[in-house]
Amino acid sequence: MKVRVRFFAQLREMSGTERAEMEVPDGISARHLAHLVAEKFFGLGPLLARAGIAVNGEWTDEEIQLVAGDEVSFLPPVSGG
Amino acid sequence: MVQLTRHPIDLNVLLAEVQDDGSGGVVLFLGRVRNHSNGQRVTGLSYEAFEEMAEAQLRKIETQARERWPVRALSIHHRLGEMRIGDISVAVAVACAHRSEAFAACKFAIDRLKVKVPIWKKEIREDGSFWFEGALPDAKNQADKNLESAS
Repeated sequence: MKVRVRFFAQLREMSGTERAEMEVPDGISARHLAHLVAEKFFGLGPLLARAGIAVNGEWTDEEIQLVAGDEVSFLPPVSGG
Repeated sequence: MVQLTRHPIDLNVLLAEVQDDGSGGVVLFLGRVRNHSNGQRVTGLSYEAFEEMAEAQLRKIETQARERWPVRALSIHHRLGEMRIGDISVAVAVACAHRSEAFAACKFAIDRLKVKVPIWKKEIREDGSFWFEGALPDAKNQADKNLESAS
């Protein structure tokens, strides 16, 4: 299945892109996707390990099972205010 | 009312949004760009956001504040883009009948914003620019637990 990936802040700069589309096994978890992303984009692993995950714009647990077409955002520790 | 803006925050607009004749107390919190961070001199900040999600999270914070306190009016404006020392990056105004609930709701709103709203700041320093390492996911979970135990 295909999922859409979005990067922000440090992750956007390090990956060199804001968005990516990835072909992944059906029903994988967000955590598994993070591992695949770390393999595809060299050097992102340590920051991905600290990043929060949002699916379709909602904070979520990394164990969530993804479905085709989900938009998965990897969010570095936030620092607004 | 919540708003992300790329322009300077207009406090007159913000205060007009929380104008309410039944409110005896209005608490206003301002976050400003500070000239130092971890002992390093900072010359400016640049903010970016996951805008759709940030707006939704701000609306959620407003809803949660209204569920917990008798809030009569609440407004949060967060500025994005580049800012200089002393610029206002965020403003939270809460109007309630009495001051104690206005203080509590305002503190809740800015504390939640700091851990829940996907906004990031980059510090512009004399030796380069650096992303500020903000709240970790663990801190977010802790904030959720605190919220649950408080409610």
